Amino acid sequence: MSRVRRSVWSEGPGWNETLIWYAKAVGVMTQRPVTERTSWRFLAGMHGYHEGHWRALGVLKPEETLPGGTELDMFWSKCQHGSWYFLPWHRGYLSAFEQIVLSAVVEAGGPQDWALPYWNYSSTAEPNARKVHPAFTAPNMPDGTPNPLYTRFRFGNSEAGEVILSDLDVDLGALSDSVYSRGWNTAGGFGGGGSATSHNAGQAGSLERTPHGNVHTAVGGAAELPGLGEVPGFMSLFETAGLDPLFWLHHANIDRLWEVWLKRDQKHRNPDDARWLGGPMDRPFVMPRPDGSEWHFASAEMVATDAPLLNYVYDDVSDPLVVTAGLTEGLVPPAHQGEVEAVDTQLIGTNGTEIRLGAGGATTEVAVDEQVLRRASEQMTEGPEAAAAAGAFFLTLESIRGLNNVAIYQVEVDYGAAGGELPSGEARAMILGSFSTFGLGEASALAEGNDGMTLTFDITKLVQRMGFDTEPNLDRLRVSIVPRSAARGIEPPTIGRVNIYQDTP
Amino acid sequence: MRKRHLRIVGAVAATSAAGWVVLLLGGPILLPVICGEGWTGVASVEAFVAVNGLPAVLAAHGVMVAAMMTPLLVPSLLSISDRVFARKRLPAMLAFSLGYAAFWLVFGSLLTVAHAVLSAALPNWQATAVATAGLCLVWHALPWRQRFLNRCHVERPLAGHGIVADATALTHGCRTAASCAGACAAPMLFAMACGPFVLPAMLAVAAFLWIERILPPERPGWGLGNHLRTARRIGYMARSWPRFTRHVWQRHGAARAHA
Ligand SMILES: [Cu+2]
Repeated sequence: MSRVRRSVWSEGPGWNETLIWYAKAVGVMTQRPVTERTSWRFLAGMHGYHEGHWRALGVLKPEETLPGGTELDMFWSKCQHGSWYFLPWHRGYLSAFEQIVLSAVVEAGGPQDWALPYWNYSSTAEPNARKVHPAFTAPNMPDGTPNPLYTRFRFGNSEAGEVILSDLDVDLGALSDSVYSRGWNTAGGFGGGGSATSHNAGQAGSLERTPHGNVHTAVGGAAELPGLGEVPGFMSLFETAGLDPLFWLHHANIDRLWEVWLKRDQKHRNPDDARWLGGPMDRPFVMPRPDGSEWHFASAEMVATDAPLLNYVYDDVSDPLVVTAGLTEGLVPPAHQGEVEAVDTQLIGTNGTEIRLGAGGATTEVAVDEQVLRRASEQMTEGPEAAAAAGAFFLTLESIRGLNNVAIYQVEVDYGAAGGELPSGEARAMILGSFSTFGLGEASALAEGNDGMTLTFDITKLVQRMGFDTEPNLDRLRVSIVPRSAARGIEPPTIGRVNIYQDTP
Repeated sequence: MRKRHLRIVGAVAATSAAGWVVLLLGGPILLPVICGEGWTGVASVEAFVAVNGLPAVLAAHGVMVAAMMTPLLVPSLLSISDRVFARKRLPAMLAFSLGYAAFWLVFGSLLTVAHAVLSAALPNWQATAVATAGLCLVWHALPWRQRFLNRCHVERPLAGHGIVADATALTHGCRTAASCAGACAAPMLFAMACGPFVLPAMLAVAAFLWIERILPPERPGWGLGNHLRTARRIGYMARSWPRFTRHVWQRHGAARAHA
């Protein structure tokens, strides 16, 4: 029998067995030396680390030293973001972590079937869903001892230091993305852009963008600390995210949503591409086992969660979205769903220039191939089959770069504004979604070969709306990037280009 | 892989192969020009060019760039073809290649000068080979070499419309060539210094550069640690290669077996 991962709220707001044992195990693991592969900090360092930052925050004591060169090289700073390896790498990472926690739980006399809980902040059934579970915010355990699940480096996104997740932060639009990956350089896909080698910048998948990135930033936040200046919360940076016990519940939910996506539509498939299944090509993913030995794996071994290696299932992988025939339904014939680049994704519009996101954000005009848009939008009014044949449309923010890792923006499109006065302004404008700059600094290191992150938003619905419009303005889209929250005093990010792509079957 | 991507890879492979064939057949004429043989010093630049002719010097370098460097351009060319309007694909790729080639023709000629000066100062080709090998060792142990290599991976956004689009592709080509030059210069110089073994040395250096281009960027650092890492990665790729080739023949098999 596989162990069952359950919602953290499933037993209400109080402490429950799962959380008490989690806390105890975390307590044990934080006591282990940082050089030990099963220690709390070693596991966090595998996601990312920054020695100076760790020392400044007291994560590393003055007398402590980091693991040795080869050890560091093999295990640390290996998180995969901005590519199709995001999901399989994090699944292996979580599983290795879960098994190490489990063994600590069992050693302390806890249950043999302990499994990592997940935080389903998008749930509409659970009234508290968007709140951080009280077991993570209480400084003390029920018995009065310090609570290992609590951290003071979780600043939230409100003045009061609370975590307030909005509809946009927990939006599950990613689940309607019809393909896992759209290949290398154009638009993302559910799981991220293709890559033959390990990665930390590039085409983030729609799930990685939202809710993943938003929740990282909203939970971590940033705060002014005496003597340290503005400090990003643990969850706000690759280099510290794994130090927050809540990180693992967040990622368990992202991992669960991968299962939900596969289940909710039989046409949703993982890539059937050797570069994904066998990849990455340049090195295996490596994790420690509870006994400290090495575990090497490739994406293919991450496909089934109930396989002996992983041995877990989720209590709930039901479809949280109202089932509607998506516009892109039928675009890709089922036989080709797993095939990367089965559809050709082509550029049909771009603003062609860099924009800077100042305090008020930025607005730019994207010149679009009017004929393509007119043909497709008219076709979309002729019923679902014709709509599917018209193809899907995407807006991409190409090569976002900057140093501000703790900001959330919302993206709006207006296709009437450029053409003069509107009879009804709001009908021609649409909020496409939001994104956070989680990981932006890392993704922007040109000297490390990283050219920023590229994010994709589905605008197929907007194109359909144009088809029903009597006087659509189709040669220009006005795109606005509006800040919802941003860390202060850091140079504003830039976006290399804003593009419109079309999936053509 | 998309058909239009395959066509690009095919065109590049053909160009490179043609370059090698010409180098092989025309070696006795081309290689001395590329390596600057018969020079006695900087003062004889004019004499050298007068004997060989400037077009011949540039053509010889053109053949060398076509053979050794074009495979390095594949990732950039694919990326460009994906990120411009369909009608702009060919012009943008040509503009990029032109920018790249232009930079390398000039830079390659400078390498020729450097090699000529060096070999004039040293007693024989063996000594020059040892000296340039030493230069490789030093340059490759500096973080800047890794920075140049990493910059080769950077695909900057391109302007979308009109002549500006081609211009940005052209400058992107020049910039990529500059990064490439920083990463490749020392081993290229070494290859030139290999006397009777120039051609095999060029092939070996090219193979090394191609493999390096496939690998992901590394954090720049001091010492040869990154090269050890590269060696480990090559070892891993060699061992895991069957996984990638086998799958081509059993397209849907693996996914099902693991599902
Ligand atoms: Cu994450």
